[in-house]
Amino acid sequence: MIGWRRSRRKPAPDHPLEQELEFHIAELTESYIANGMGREEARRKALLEFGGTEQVSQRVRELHVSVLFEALRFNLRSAVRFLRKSPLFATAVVVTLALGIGANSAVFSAIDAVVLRPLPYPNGNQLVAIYQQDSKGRGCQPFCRACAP
Amino acid sequence: MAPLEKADLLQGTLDLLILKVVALGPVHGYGISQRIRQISEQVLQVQQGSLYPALHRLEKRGWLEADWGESDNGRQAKFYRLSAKGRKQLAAEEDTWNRLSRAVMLILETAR
Repeated sequence: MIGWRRSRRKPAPDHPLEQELEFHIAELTESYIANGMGREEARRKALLEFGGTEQVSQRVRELHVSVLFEALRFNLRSAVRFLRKSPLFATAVVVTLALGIGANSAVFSAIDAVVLRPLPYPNGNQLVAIYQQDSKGRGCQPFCRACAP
Repeated sequence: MAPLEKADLLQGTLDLLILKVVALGPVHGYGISQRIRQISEQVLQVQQGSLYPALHRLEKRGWLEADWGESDNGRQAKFYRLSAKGRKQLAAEEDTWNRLSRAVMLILETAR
């Protein structure tokens, strides 16, 4: 919602915060030059007085992150309130989600054990299964002592 | 007058000062710090490390609105102006401040 509101405003420069701070330093530099200072020295003094662009922009950025968390907390709170207001709907949603997630993880763990995971023996790829059949080609059960000739 | 140390500025006072200065007309961050210094006769010097976080906080709260425009000497600058919500907030904070300072003055004068 924040992004949508901002996008309707005038397009801001690529790095608005950096540019905003840079503007401040440039103006400060100009004011020192107007007082009769050399450009180099004025710029240095302005940067010194500004006290580290990086620290300032860091503090502003932290602020935006905390605002984001505030929005998240607000969304969560209103979600809980909404669910409380209609418990039947909430139960239906919870049951649907539980069944969906449960079925999904059941299918996945089956596929994982059968297909994805290697067999729990050393050299599992050399493992063979032996079957036997009689001379007429009729199938027999897996190889065993009892039906050997 | 000698400038006060930053710590001497009461908590929340900076917000009030910014709102008041911006209420005079659209102004960029540099202009705000200059105006605060000039109007206070060099007593109040806002640190950039406090000013810009405060500006962005006030903008997020919807008390300030900002647009990019050209400054007097042709540079791109972010101009802040007061929103309707900000105007209401300013009135409330000014009232609180007046009551507080009057209360402090009363105590200082009786204790003399």
